Order: sequence, then structure tokens, then C-alpha cells
Amino acid sequence: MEPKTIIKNLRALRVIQPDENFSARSRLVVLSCSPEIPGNFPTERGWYLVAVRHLQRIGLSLSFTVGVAVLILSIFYATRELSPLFLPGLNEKRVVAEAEMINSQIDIQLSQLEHFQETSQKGNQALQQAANTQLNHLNETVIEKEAENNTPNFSSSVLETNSKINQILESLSE
Amino acid sequence: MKDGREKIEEEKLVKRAIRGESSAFGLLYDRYQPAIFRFIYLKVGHREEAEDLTHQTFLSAWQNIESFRREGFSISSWFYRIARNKVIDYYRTKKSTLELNRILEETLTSDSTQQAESLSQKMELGLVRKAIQSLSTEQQDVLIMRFVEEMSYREISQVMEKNQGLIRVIQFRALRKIKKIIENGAKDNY
Repeated sequence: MEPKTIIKNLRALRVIQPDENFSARSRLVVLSCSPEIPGNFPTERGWYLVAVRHLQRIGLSLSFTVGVAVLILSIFYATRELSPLFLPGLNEKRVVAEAEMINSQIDIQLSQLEHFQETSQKGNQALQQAANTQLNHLNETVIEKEAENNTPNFSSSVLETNSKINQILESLSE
Repeated sequence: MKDGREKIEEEKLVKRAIRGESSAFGLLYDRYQPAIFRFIYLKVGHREEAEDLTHQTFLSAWQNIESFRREGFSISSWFYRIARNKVIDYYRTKKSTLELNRILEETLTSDSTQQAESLSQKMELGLVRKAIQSLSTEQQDVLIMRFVEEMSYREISQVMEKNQGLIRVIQFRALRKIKKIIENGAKDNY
């Protein structure tokens, strides 16, 4: 066989064609796969495409993880930053000490209040007793002593004068 | 050979494919898949395995389309390079146990050769295909790309990463060897 014939036969091999069903099936499978992203992805819309493709690949799991992370962070932020009890720069030890001091002051005032209440009760009782029994409650010896004190202590000159006054008064009346 | 307009159109398709547009890669697939299949089929001599390797070639190409821009040559050359590597890997992992008679038989019964004019031509085609199997990998590549696919020496040199002069030398030796194989085969048959 001459080289020309060989070349002619080689060109005739061009009629070899793949099976149409295989081609269609293979095309579908190939195009359904995502292209790989190399490490040094270049310019243009590069990074946007990288992000989109990675998101497509990782898909639901990534979005779920991100969602959970955002939820946890927002709860943490809300409880810490937005709480009405939260004061930035709060010194907790100092607040506790102040609270203890206030507590002890309240305790002292309460004990004083109890004492005043007790005293007033006793005063009331005494007044009530006095009102009900008048002077009955007083001791006899005290009364006698007071009677003695109140009794006028007349001297002899006073008595003589008094008798003279009595006589004059009698003569006048006659 | 592609004209200027076709070349520009192809470059646009390649750019779109690199951006991840599967429709653009689909058009490139339609354009080059038959040639790549032929290239592989003539090298491995088995339709199902050629289909499998062709599929793997385009799958690798699509998955690594981003790396193509750094290579700096035509997309068809890149497809052929991937196909070559797939065939090399195929032979590395699986030694061909194909019997040459089966290849000849397949050639004679294949739908692909129905267009051949006569039985003698079919016989000749079968002999050529059988002879291709006996060539070295490089000689197979050059003959298929040069005469079956009618690629330029420049494109072949890009695929094979060899200078054009060396491609011509390989082509010359391949034709000489295939002639010898066919003559010996013809003698054995008679």
C-alpha cells in the first residue's frame, strides 16, 4: 500500500462518529457538574463567582450553620447589650459593698423603729391606766405626806391675831 | 483550519465557559467531542472504553476550565492534551488485551464505516486501523491528528509539546512503519 493510499484511508477514518445517545448522555452529565475553582482565581467577576459557586456547592449546610451562628450571636448581644440591667463600666464589687452597707443601715433603722413602737405602747398603757383609776392608783403614804404638806402651819401669833379678828367680827355683828 | 471569524467566536465561547457558563462549554463540547472520541477510539480500539475516556476527558476539561487560561493555546489543543493523558493513564492502569482480529472485525461491522465504498476499501480501513494500534503512542497521535483530524503542525506541536520539525520526523517514521505493518499483514493474510 502506497503512502498516498494510507493517508487516504486515514482521512476516511474521519467517518467514525460517537454514538448519539452516548454523546447526549455524556454532555448532560458533564455539564451538570460544577467546574473546579483553582487557588489563584483571577480578576474580573472572579471572587463573586467563587463565592456563588462555593455557596452552591456547600449549599444548605452552610446557610444553616450561618443562620445558627447569627441567632446565637444576636441572643448574646441582646442579653448583654440591650438588657435594662446592663450598665457599661459597672464595678460589680463596689455595687455589692454599697448594697451591703445600705442593708446594714436598714437593719439599724428597723431595730430603732421596734424600740420606739415598744416605748409608745408602754406610754399609752400608763395613760390609759391613769385615766381609768384617777388617784386610786396612788399610794396612801404619799397622800398623807401631801396632806401634811398642804396643811397650813399656823404659829401662835397668827392664832392670836385670828382670835382677835374673830372677836371684832362678832362685835360688829352684834 | 479555522478562519479568523470562527476563531474569535471560539475565543468568546472559551471566555464564557471560563466564567462558568455551562451553555458555552456545551457548544465547545458539541464542536470537539466527535474528534476527541475518534482520536481516543483509534488509539484504544474499543468503542465503550473510548466513550468512557471521552467522557472523562470532557469532565476533566469542564472541571478544570479555569486553568485553561494560563496554558495559552487553543482549546482544541487543550482537549487533545487531556485526552492523550487519559489514554496514557488508561494504558498504565489497564494493559490492553484487545485482540487485533477483534479490532479488524469491529471495523468491518461498525456503523461508522458504512459509508465506505466497497468491501476492499473496508478491508483497507480495517488494516489501517489495525496498523495504527501497532504504532508507538507518539506516532499514533501524530498520524491521527495530522491525517484524520487534519490539524496543522503548529497545533500538533502544541498538543505534544514538541517542536514542529520533530513532529514532521515522527510523522515520516509513522507512515513508513504503518506501510511496513500493512504489507506484512497483507502477506500474512494471503
